[in-house]
Amino acid sequence: MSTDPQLPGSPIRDLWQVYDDALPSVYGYLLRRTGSVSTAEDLTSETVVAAIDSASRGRVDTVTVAWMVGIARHKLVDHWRRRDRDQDRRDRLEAETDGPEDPWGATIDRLRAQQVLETLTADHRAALTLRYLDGLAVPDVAHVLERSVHATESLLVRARAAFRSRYTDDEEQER
Amino acid sequence: MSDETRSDDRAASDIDAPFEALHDPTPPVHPEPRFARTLREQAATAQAESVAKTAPDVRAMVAEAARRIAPGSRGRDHTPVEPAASERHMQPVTTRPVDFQVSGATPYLCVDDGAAALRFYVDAFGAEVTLRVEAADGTIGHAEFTVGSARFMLSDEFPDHDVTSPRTLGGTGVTLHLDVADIEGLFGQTLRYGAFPVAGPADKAHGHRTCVVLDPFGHRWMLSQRIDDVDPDEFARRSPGWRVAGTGVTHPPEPPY
Repeated sequence: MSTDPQLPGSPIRDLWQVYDDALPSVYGYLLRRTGSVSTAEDLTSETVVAAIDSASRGRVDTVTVAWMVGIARHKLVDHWRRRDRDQDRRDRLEAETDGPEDPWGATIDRLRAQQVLETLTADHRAALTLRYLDGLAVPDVAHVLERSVHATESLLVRARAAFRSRYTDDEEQER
Repeated sequence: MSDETRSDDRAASDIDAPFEALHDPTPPVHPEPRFARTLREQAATAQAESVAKTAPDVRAMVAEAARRIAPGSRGRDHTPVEPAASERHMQPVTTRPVDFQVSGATPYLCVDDGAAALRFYVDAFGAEVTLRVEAADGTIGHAEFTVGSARFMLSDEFPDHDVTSPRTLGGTGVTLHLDVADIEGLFGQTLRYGAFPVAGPADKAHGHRTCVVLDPFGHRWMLSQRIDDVDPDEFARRSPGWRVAGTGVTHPPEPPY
């Protein structure tokens, strides 16, 4: 069959075939990462519409559930970035946490980690979430964040430092 | 992999170690059915819109689509789509077309691959083939099928008798209007089997929710679900710029729910 996006045998037809499987995976991912039904629903809609658009225009060759979840990751990161438009705040937070990285022997508590993640800049939060919560390899994180692998590695260094600094501050405040 | 890379990995893994505890695979969760339904409509509309963006004029788009599937492809390679694994156990959408005939006229569809077309109408529309007259080479001389109570006839092309399909003609001047009970379901099902969405489901002034698809053989279908009783006055009120006369929209005797 031809690659014409509007004809039978096209990505859009494949998309309808995986749609019913993909929806719970996309929604489940977004619900868990945002902790909010309404935000998860909004981002699920954005994901589905983006997937439909992409497939209708033949901008993707292989439509799979994993591809749809990948779009959901993009939408999640966009969502965090939208809430984090204050460039000054981002620069300040990132500048505070530059420096060499020492090994850290802590055992991280998941619940508190979630709270700390929410206080970070969108890019730091996104980098840590994709790398560690989602378990993506660095090049895959780079792909979602639309950065180079090198820039993503640097971002992860700063993100881990920011996380550690916040996490440790919180511990001290508790004492 | 070089030794150097491996040592980098080890160094990285020390740094990563405390964070590995955060690994959190996410289980699939089914969204609320109401949200899922709305989203499917939204998705279908988005598809029609994406298509329309590349060809903003719908008439031009339909003509273009019909033209593109006409020469060369000839449709002989149309094979019904294998349902995805998850769908094999699902009930197909029941077309439940309304038991409603306003006319004794029966559309006689000419297609350029009768056998494939019959398979498509069975899969996508839930048609029942009631008669099949076939030559040794598989050419369909005549077939009849029903979709609910609507009756259709079908044959392959016979150019000598001026029997030609929309693909050969490069378009169709007729829309087949089908009253159905589950427009979203049937719309999605026709798309899954290779129909081309011309317009996603939308509520219309005449009290029906309708959508339009072009099937893989070039025939144009309007699916229509009654959602509201609209008399001619109300129809006119909802249609600025148009005069509405007559006894009103003909409806199926039984609401299709």
